[in-house]
Amino acid sequence: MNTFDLLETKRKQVFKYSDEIPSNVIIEDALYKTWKTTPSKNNAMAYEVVVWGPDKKSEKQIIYNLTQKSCIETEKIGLKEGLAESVSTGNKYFEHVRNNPYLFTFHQRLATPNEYHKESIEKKGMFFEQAHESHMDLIIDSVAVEVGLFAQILTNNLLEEGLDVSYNSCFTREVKYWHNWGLTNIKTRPILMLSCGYGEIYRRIDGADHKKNLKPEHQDIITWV
Amino acid sequence: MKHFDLLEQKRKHVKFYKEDIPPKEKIERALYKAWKTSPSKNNAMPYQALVWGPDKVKEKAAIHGLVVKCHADVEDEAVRQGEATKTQGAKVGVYENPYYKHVKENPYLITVHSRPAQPNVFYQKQVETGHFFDQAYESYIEKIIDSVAVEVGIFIANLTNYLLEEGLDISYNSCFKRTTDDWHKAGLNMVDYRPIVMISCGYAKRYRREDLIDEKTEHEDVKPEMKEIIKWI
Repeated sequence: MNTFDLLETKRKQVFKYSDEIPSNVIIEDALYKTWKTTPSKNNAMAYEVVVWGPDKKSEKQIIYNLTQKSCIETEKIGLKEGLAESVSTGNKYFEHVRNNPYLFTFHQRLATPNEYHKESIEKKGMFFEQAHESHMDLIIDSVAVEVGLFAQILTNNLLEEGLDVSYNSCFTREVKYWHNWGLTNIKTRPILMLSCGYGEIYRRIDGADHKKNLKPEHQDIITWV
Repeated sequence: MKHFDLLEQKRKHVKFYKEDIPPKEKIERALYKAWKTSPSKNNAMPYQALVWGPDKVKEKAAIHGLVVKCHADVEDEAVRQGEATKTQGAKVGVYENPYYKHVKENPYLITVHSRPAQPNVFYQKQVETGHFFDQAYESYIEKIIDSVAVEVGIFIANLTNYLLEEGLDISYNSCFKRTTDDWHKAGLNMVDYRPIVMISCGYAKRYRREDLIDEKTEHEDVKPEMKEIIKWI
């Protein structure tokens, strides 16, 4: 199946996963293929992927709580700034963050130059910004683009294996809150979450919502200069 | 062809493109498919792709100038901050990283920028019940840049697949000046919002990897080990 058909027919945001747990061999193979084929500026890969498996229920509950809290806090700020009309009580479509066989959270990481780039630094004066803590926030857009590349390639590899995936980018970015809630093994800023398993109920099932919930027109996104 | 095989066999960073210009229809088809299959939080797609075609030679030279300037500024600042001891002396016409040349000389260059989005009918109703649609506000462009940049990464990953499936080559670049002021000073007044990534495309004449093979350094320019990137908790 070509990529377009794969994504058009298989990629759907999951509302609820089935209880069936995919083999971790499938997950490991998809992660290997993704790592192998995802390019990175200066081969730095200035991010890491943390895999929360089927046994990490309490940790996923905390991550879910961080997600709901972030959603409400963002709305409170929007209200305070006069940009939102009220504050909701949370979002039911975050359920996939808590109940899933596998959850991947992507975080920034300090990278180390490989032999080729070490020589470029020493002999030519190249600056390897991905190695400096002081540059982490400065290069977040560039690292986040690479995380998006990784996440999409991982998505394709998982879909090809018959699995479903869902994304989430609503969560607090500050590591201190992850620590306050007990996730002290997280050292650096989160960038994205991706859950995976076998979908049982998809968000799209609600037909009325689906017809009104459309993406912007093609001409709003693609402009020929 | 499996997704893995497509990327392993076909995706290679281009040093020079051939002068052959791929049909515009191939680019349009790939862009349509990327738009159609790229998901976005709240269906906002708070980014836009500007396509600079074969006739935009002057504009691509200006964009390349912003790439060289970024390279110079980043290294100069690192020396000032004591994080590096010297620079490569990047300057247009003096020293230009040869692997940025694909930004200037290509049939098509696609630059992806932020843009404020409007909520669709579904989200207009959600806003009434308390949902905050942060993608609509210019004041939030920098605050949500990581989330938008992830989506841009998803979009260009899809675009890459579709262009590769059309038999084209592509290359990425993320070294460039981020402010629209810099773009306007370079004469690129049609750019309204901050850039996030660039991708060039065409038919490759030479890949960067060929340089590494000739220099016998291919084994040195490798990515980090998988265990450094993937952590099972």
